[in-house]
Amino acid sequence: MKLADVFSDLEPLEQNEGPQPVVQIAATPQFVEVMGYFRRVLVNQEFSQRALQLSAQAIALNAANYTAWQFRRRCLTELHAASSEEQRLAAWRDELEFCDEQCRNNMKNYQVWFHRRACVEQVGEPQKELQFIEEILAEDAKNYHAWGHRQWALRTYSLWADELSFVERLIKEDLRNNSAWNQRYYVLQHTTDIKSPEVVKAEIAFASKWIEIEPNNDSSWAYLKGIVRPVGYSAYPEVQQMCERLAAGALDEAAGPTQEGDASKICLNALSLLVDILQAQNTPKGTARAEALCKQLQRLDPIRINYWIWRAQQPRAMG
Amino acid sequence: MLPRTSPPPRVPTATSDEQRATEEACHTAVDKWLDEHGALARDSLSLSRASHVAFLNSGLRELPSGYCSLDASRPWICYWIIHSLEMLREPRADELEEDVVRFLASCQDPSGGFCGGPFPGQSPHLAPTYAAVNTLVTIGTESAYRAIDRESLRRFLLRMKTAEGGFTMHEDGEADVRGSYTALAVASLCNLWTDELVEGAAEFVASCQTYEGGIGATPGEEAHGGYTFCGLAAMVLLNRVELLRVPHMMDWLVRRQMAVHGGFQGRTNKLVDSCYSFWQGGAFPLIQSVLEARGELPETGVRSLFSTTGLFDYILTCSQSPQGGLRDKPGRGRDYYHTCYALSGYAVCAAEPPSPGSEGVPAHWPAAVDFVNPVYNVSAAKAAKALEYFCPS
Ligand SMILES: [Zn+2]
Repeated sequence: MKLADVFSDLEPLEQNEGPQPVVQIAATPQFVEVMGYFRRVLVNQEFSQRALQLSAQAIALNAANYTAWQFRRRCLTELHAASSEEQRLAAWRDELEFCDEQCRNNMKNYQVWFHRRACVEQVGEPQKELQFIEEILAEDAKNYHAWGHRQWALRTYSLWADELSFVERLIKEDLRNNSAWNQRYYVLQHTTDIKSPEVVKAEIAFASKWIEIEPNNDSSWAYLKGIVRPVGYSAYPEVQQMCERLAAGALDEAAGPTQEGDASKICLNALSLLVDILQAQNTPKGTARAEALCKQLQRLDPIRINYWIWRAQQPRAMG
Repeated sequence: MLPRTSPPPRVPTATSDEQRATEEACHTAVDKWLDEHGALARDSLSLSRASHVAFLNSGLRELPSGYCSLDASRPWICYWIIHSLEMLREPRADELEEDVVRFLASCQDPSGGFCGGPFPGQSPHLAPTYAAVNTLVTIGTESAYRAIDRESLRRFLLRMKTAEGGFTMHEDGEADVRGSYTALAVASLCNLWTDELVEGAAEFVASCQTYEGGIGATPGEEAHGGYTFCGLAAMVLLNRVELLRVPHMMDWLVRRQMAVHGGFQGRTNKLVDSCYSFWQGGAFPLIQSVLEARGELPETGVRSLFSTTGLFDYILTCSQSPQGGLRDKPGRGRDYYHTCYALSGYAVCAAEPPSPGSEGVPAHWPAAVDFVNPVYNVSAAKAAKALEYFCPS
């Protein structure tokens, strides 16, 4: 059925661009028609089945039309205000299915993911969400919206049980997947006392294992620092020991300049964490050694040369 | 000069493969430039101003149908273009500016705030509200200022406030650090600041700082350049930066500058992208003034903690599209969003004080653009003018 027939009782509401339009987007005839009727039902506050279908067409033309998404939620709520529980559930299940497809097509869209939350809240089968997000992450392992949605589902419905093993699997697939590392921290933050010595020890071991496998990985180092920094490095000497070992290449060459080729073999993350640890010791010896390391880093990490000069000058800054 | 490649990975993964491919695309772009100019003499490298201006002007009136995905973001298109032209000191005809003012006024909802397009047809939303106000401030005429209905805007901002101290982007919409920044930036520029509006706002933003030091969209989400800028700028506006772990944030920020091509990535282990030239780069002047106020950035030492030379190099060699306009990275198409934010990052670099560790840059680089106020990301002069208008002392 043509839109004009479905809405034969309504006059489309044209967009008023004024006599001298700016940033006007050349619209296809279909875009003009759908949006004309959509504006009309919106203004009329018509919460009907045909309006619901129309909003899907508006979304197909522009998934970032937040008004159309918002209208759908309102429409479903109003349509089923007097429905049986069964009818209402069925409608929201359909909506979740609509969302599945929209999420797959518009993975980087705020609206579709926010809408999904509303659907899950209505349908109440959050376990399925984890499976769905896993499919999305298989295509884009760092999708920010998918991870945000996953965190929401985990905390809202307390679905923590298998999350650590899921995260570990993703880290195994790509040890540089920083979203997975962030998720590990998130799970522990919600399920353990992340400052307790047991957790800190276990997480140092976890991060260190992945650092040994690939020392040149900002994600595992950031995680290690994130775990130990709040509780202080002094209680966990194994961190400094690992840094000393991995930075050894650079420490050896303290006597003379490195060849150009060698610089790439030096673990900058180990050197820079050593600076943090030594400065935190707040001793003349530690500060002096940190200053020497900062000098080396000025040469080995030239993009951050200003930062390393500053770190040497402000040994207390990282406090 | 920066190294040409990252050290070879011991364990290659999808991330390191993509990184390698991006580095190669960047080299190709630099090499192409070298072929044309002989040697990497920075002196002969510059912003292709005329072609960027042509691209910007071509979008002000009409856009092809491919832009329909931005049909709910039209005030953003105004902002990206007008702000870019302003940075490039390209004057706009009075008549055109009046048309932009009229258009933005037509996007205003009678109940307050600006919509993604003309009213009726869309709901008011904080993002187009921020874009509309910034555009009007950039135009900076009496009629532009008067287009903002401050009384209804004040009510709209208050309606978006959540119990947690955050702001939802629109009614029945998502709340995150973008909401906090856009609401507070608008409230500050238009003098709509009240205790009621800001109550709990700083605590919400602070709760989004992650173990990495950057800020995520909501508590627990991954540290991200866009949200880090928004959160930090919001805290500067709130005068509550002390709730953040500032050196920790600096430690995260400096590491987002790529060792190889000098641009910024948005998150740890992601690819370089020119829009982060502003989202990450713009955080530096904010955080540096905090450090300065604390006496931790003395006059005699380094004044700028990132490599402005590296960022200039990336923007000039890798993000300028040969057809005019700027792009995310080599191999991608130009667009107005990246043109605006790459230029905004460039303008931030231009305003940075020289530091002992930076290689010198040709004097014509920083001279090519006007300074921006990094808190609002509008022209520094126009921000000052608007504050004077809305907040007469
Ligand atoms: Zn980008």
